[in-house]
This record gives sequence, structure tokens and C-alpha cells, in this order.
Amino acid sequence: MIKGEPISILLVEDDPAHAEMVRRNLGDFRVANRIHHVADGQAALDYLFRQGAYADPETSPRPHIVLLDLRLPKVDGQEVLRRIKEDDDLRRIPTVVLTTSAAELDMVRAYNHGAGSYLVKPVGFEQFSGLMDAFGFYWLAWNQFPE
Amino acid sequence: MRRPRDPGPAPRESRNLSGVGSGAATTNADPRHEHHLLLLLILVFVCLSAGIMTVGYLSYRSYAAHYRAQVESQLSAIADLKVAELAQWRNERKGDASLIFENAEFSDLVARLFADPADVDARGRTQAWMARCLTRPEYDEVRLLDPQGAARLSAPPNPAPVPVAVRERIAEVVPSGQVAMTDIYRDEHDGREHIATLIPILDERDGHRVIGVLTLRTDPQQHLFPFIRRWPTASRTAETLLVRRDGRDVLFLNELKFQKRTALALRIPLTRTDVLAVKAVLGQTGVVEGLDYRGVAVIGSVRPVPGSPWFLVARMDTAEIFAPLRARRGELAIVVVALLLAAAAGVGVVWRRQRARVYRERYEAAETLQGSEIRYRLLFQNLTAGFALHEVVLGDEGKPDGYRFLEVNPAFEELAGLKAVDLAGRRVREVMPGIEADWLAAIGRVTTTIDSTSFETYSEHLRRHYQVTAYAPEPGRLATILQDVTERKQAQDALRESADRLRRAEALSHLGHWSLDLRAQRVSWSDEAFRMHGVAVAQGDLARDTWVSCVHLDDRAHHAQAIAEIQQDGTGVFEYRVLRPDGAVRHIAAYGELGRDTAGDPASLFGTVLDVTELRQKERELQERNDELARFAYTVSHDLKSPLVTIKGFLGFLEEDTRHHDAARMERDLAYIRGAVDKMARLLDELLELSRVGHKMNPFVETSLQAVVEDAQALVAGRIAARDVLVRVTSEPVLLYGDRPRLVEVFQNLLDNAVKFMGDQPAPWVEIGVRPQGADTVVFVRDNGIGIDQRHQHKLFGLFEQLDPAAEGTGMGLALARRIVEVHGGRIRVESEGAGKGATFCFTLPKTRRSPREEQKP
Repeated sequence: MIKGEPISILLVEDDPAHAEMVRRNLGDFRVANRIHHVADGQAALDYLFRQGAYADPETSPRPHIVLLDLRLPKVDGQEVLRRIKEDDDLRRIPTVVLTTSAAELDMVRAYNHGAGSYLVKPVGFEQFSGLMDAFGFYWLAWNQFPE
Repeated sequence: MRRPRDPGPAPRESRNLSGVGSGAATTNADPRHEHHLLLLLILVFVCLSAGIMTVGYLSYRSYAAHYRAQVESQLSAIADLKVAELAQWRNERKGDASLIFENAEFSDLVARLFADPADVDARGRTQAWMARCLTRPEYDEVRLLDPQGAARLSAPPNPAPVPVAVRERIAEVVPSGQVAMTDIYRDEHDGREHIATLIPILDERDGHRVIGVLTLRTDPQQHLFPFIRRWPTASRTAETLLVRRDGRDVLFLNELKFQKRTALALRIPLTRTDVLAVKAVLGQTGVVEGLDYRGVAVIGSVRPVPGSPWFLVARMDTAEIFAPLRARRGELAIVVVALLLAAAAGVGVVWRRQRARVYRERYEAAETLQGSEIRYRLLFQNLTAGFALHEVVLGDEGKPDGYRFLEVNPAFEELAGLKAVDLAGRRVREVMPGIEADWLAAIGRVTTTIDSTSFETYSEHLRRHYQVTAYAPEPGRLATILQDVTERKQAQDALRESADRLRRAEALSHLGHWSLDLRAQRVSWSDEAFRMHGVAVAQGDLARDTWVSCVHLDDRAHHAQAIAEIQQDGTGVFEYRVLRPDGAVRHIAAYGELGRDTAGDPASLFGTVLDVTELRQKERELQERNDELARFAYTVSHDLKSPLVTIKGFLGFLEEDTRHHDAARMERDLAYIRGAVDKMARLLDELLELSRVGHKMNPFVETSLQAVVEDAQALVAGRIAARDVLVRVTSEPVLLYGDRPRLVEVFQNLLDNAVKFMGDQPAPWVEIGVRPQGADTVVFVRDNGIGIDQRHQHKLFGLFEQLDPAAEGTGMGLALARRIVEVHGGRIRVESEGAGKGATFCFTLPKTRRSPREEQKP
């Protein structure tokens, strides 16, 4: 936003309801961005590595930030995270974990794998909105992204 | 027959009990021995005496011989001396005579005188010559005789005629014309003895014709006898005799010591050959023994006097000679006697000492015996084992027929419950009728054949166990020692029982025990420990290495270290795997404890071993279940939370949208909410179902595969029809065994899953059948749908693992199917070559069998 270029976010979320909630929060608000949603880990990796259905950079632009749920079908969120952070090119993309799990173990593993931040989906509309606002503000308004 | 407690005199029967009072029997009190000793001592004494006497006698004899030799030599010497002196004397006379003999001057004178007796000159000169002769002291008279023996001139003048002896001698001398001596003669005119030297006067001009004889007369008493009489040593009886033969007698010529007027008077006939003088005359020379003129035993040296008819006897009385010898003999006898006495005394002393020793030994033996007897008595009284002394009663043929009590000790009284007074003198079978015959028989052997015997027996009468030892202390006697071993036996039995129980307990619980001797590095195992390690049960201990060789290679280091740690810490617990010979691997849990020796140093380890293989297996399963449960709880909380987030979220959106009157969005919001609620509901239902599987089961029955599939198919009928899937079921008769409704659920879920994931397969089918796999029968459900990516196959049966989130369902179907199969004791898995290649789910159920029977509809 600072740069004036629309921020693209890759949302990796298996629950369509949750994806909708994120999209509505981030999309409706002042944060101008493009949200790309994939519903499983394999799709996420395909998108990031420009494979399969996501080979076209036009339709599948490189995201500035990844919002990653941990419980994903096909390929687990932790694995996706690890793969992102292993890759020399992709590791620069900040990856924020957004999950229902508050388990310490998951948190530790996520950070070990290189997560930039760990967010637990709150139960409650206002809380969820508040979180999304804060997320938007911080990451999309304040955070600087490399080219 | 009870003896008083203080020991009395040694009773005969106890003296010979083995080891007691043995002193008396083995000393030198044996009279035969004494007798031998006495004989020996006597023999010694006799020998000593003989020796002493022999020595005494020999020494005496040697002394006597020596002495005698001395005496003899002395006598000989004296005789020689005398003889020499006599010979010398005669020679001196002859020497004197030589002055006149063949003296021409004197011969002339004599011739002139005889021719002319009135020739005064010749007479005078002749007298002068004769006077000169008289100056010699030896001559007491000189006479000139004519050849006929008539005296012509005498100095000193002597008118007496010439003695006959002289005239006779002259008659001998004149023819020989040599100087000669007369023998000692008695002059009959004056009655005295004389000896004369006769010198023939030779006329040289007339051819040595003897014209006259000159006699020089000597008084032997003065000039001869003293020679003879002189004895060089002081001697009481010694004397020298001069004798000559005269006819048939020996004539003594000199005066003798012990007899008077013997000169020329005493005669002893030559028949008296025992007389020394006779022996001399008869020609003996040297030292001779014999009698002298008195008839007294003498020893003398006899010799002839050369140049004369005389014989010399130098003799001494034997008595005098041997007087010192006798004295000596006396001395010797005294010494001998003294020595004999000493010998006798010595022998006597030895004998006495011997006897004293014998008595002392006897005394000591008696003392020892006394002491032994006291000790024996004390032992007898205080022995805790019962002791009885019996007399053997002989029956016919001298065989033992029974026993009579002689003595019993207090302990025996107690054991038998009988008093000594009641037992004394009574037969055993009288007072103890309960004694078994074989007990008596066993004891009987003791007295006849063997030394001692010991055996255990049980008395019905007293209801006690006894240890009986019997032996024969002396012929005709029997000693029995009785010990009540009931407690011991009971303890032994209890111990044996206890050990058996332990063994059985160990066998039942698969618990063994072990102990390790640290120094010897040897281990001993209980029976169960052997079995546990797969080693044949054996007696005795094993080397530690044997134990280690049972341990799995990978665990050996840990095993050794654990044992070392127990030695340090005192106790410890450790586990190891055992590789049994049959290849089975068992897990052993061991407990150990350190035992120290009296010095406080580690000596041994003791511990138990428990086969925990099954336990560990169950633990592993439990752990798996717990893990699963944790995952389950995690998953559940997560997956239940998710819809809540949705509900709450969209409620908020709904509120907003209601405010904005955005009906379309409101509609969508409600739809999301509803969906989430439904999902939660479904989730909870399936969770409940899943939890029920395993403990809320229906009884197992046998049911045909086809029947179950038919029911499942009915439940999924709608979806099957909607997708137009062909379902093929094998017609093989297969009987499944399990909870029927649940088995239906399995097929329902598998069919449902297969149909859901057909993808855009134009001719979808599902095939259900069986195939053999080793000993098992595998049921499979195969489809030609979208298949499963190899990478994702392992997650398939996990809870809530939906590979396609868009698909309906909670993702629990496969998890449920798996749970049911596993509860039945089977296994389920999926095979798929990958995306687009279809999938096959196969599972095993125990006791599935193919039956030739017809299908049975339950």
C-alpha cells in the first residue's frame, strides 16, 4: 500500500466459512489488497512454486504475505511452512499462521519452521474482526516488503 | 539304678566306651612286660658281673704274670750275679795260684827242700813264700804237700794231717798237673769246713813232674758263704744255696738261713725231685718252682757254677713272693666286689625306676580315668540327646534276642517319657512295646556285624520323629543315642513346601530370582529364571557369561552397566531383552539389590527377573492409544472449535448485514452458520459412534459377506444411484465373524468413500471380494475412482483427515472403519497406484473363513 501497489495475500484455509470471514474482513476494510485463496496444502505449494493450475503469474501473482492455516488436507500446514522457508526464493515471503489451534507444540513447531507470526482464530465476531484489522494495519500498512 | 551326680569310682562298663578312660588299657602295667623287663635287667646284671669279674680276673692274672716275671727275672739276676761272683772268686784263687804255679824259683826251692829237708835256706825261703801267701786275707793256711799228699810244711804250722778230701783231690790234681780247687770239705781233725786251692809244683827240669802241691786254704764261712748269703733286696725268706751232688744225695755246702749246721751236713736224696736243690743238681736251670729243704714251696733260680761241681739256687718262698700278689688280689677282689655291687645297685635302681614309672603311669591312668569318668558322667547327665546303655540278651544259638536297660541319661528319660528307675533292668520290649520290630532288627545288626548304625524313625506311640544311632561299646553291650528330630523334620518339610510354593508361584507369575556372586562371577537362578532365559533348568550355579550370552547383543552393555550401578548404589532396576534359542525375543525386567559380606564389602547381588514382554506390549499399545487419544482430543478440540469460530463470526456479519439490510449477504451468512452447526452436530455424532466402538459392542456372530454388503449397499443406495456406480460382489461363500451392525458400517463407509471419490470416471464400479493372503483371508473393496496420491496415503485413516475438504462428510468414515476392523482384531490398509488409478481398501478379520456351506441369512 505504501508503495501504492496492491498487496496480494495468499490465504491457505481449508474451511470455506473461515476463508469467507477472512476475505470479508480484509477485503471490506480500508486495506486494499488481493486475496488468493487455496483450500489445501498441495494447492498452496503448487501456487507458490508456480505449478499445476497456478503456473500463470498473471492469475497467480507471487503473494507478498501468506496467511496459513495449519490443519490442511493433503499437505499439512507445518510442512507447507517448512517448504516455503526452505526455499531460497520463497523464504522472503512473511508467513503468518492463522489457526484454531492454541497448542504450544504447534506454535513452537511453526516458529521453528520459520513462521513470522502465530495467530489464533478467536471465537467471537468482534474479536475476529479486531484481529483482522490489526493484521491488516500492521502487515499491510506498516510492514515493508521487498521487491 | 540312678547314679549319684558326683562321679564315683570308675564303673567297668564306662571305662571301655570309646575314647573314655583309655589310659588304663595301654600302659606298661602288663605283668608280662614287667617280667620281661626283670629278666632283661637280670641278664644285664649277669653280663655286667661276668664282665667285671672277667676283667678283674684278667687284670689280676696279667698283673700276677707280670709280677712273677719280675720276680723270676730278679731271681735270675741274683743267681747270675752270685754265680758270677763265685766264678770270679774261684778265678781269683786260680789267679792267686798262678803266682806260684809254674814259678821256677819256687819249684826249685820245693825241689831242694824235698831233696834235702834240712836245707835251711830252702826251708826259710819256702816259708817266706808261704808267709807271703798268707798275707792275703782269703787264706788262713798254706801247706806244702808232697805228691803223695803228706804235709811237709805248713804255715801257720799245723801238725794235723792232711784231710782226706784234700788228699783225694791231690790224687786227682797230680796227674793233671793243673791248678785245681777242692770242693768245700770238712776237716775231720778240726771239724770245720774249708776250701782249698791246690797248686801243683812242677819240676821243670824233670819234665814237669809234679814234685809237690801247695794248698791255699780258705775259710768259706768268711770268704765264700757271705757271698752266697748276701741278698740284694730285703727279703725275709730269700736265700742262696750252694749245693753239689754227692752220691745219691744233694749236699748242701753252705749254712742256711732256716736251718743250722747244714753246711756239708744236710743231704737230700735225689729222689726228692720236687726239691729245688735236687732239681738244680739234676741239671735244671732257670727259674723253677718246687720245695726247699724245709719242704716249703719256693721259687728259685737254679744254675750250675761253671768250673765247679757246685750248683747255685737263689730262691724265695712262694709265700713271700706272692704275698704282694695276694694283697693285690685282695684289693682287686674288693674292687670287683665293689663294681659288682655298683652294677647290682645300678640295675636295682633301673628296676626301681621302672617300677616307679609303672606305678606312676598306673596312677596317672587312674587319674585320667577318674577325670575321664568325671567328664563322662557330666556329659552323660547333660547330653541333650537321649543315651541308653543296654545289655544284650542272647537267645538260642547265641543270637541277640533283646536288650535290657542298664543305664539311661536324663535326656532319654524325657524323650521316652519313662524314668530311669522304671527302666533299669527291664527289657526294652517290656517298657516300649511300640518299638517296631525292624528298629530292633536294625540295632541287632550292630552287635553282630557292623560297628554302628544311624537311622531315622517315627514312633506311632509317641508321635515323634527320632534319629537313632546305635553302636556296641563292648561285646555284650549296646549303646543307643536318641534324638528327637521332629522339629527338624517339620522344619525341613516346611522348608521343602515353602520352596515348592515359591517355585510354583514363580512359575505362575513368570517371576524368577537370581543371585550373583561378585567374586566368583557366578550366578544362580531359580527354575523360573532358567525358563525365562531359555536355558534348561539345571542344578548348581552358572558362569555370569552364560547369563550375558542370553542377553540380546544390543543390551549387553546396558546389562553390565546396570549391574555395576547396583554395586555402587545398593539397589537398581534395569531391563534387557533376551534372545531365546528359538528366536523369540522377550523383555526382562530385573530388580537387584547389593549384599555385603561381614567386612562390609560388596559380595553378592540378589534380585528378581520378570518377563514383561506382554506387559510392554500392552504398554506400547496403551501408549499408542494414549497418543491416539491425545491426537484425538487435539483434533476434536480443533475441529469443534472451527465451526464455533464460523458461527460466531457469521453471527457478527449477520448483525452487520442486518443493519445494512443486505438480504443477499444475510442469506449467505445464515447459510454458513447453519452449515457450521450441522457440521458440529455430525461431528459429535460420529465421535460418539467412534467412542462406542470397542466397548459397546454386540455379540459376535458368524454372518455371510454377501448379507453384510447387501445391508451396507442399502444405506448408500442413494449416492450409488446418483453416481450410477456398479457394485459387484463376489459370490464365493465367505463367512465373517464379528459385530454385525458394525461390519455393515465398515462396508457402508468404504462404499460411501469409493462412490464419493469417483471423480469423473465415466464407468464407475466398485468391486467387493476376498483373496487369500498367507493363512488369512483378505476382504477388499476396489474402485476405479480418482485414487489416492501416494504421498497422502498414510494420512488417510486419520481422524478428520479429509483429503478433499469440499467433499461432504466429516472425514471420520475411514477412521471409523479402521477402528471397527481393529477392534475385531484385524488390519485395514489402502492400495492405490496414485491419482486417477483407483483405490483398493483391504482388511483382514480374524476367523473369516470360506465355507462350502450355503449362505446363511442371519
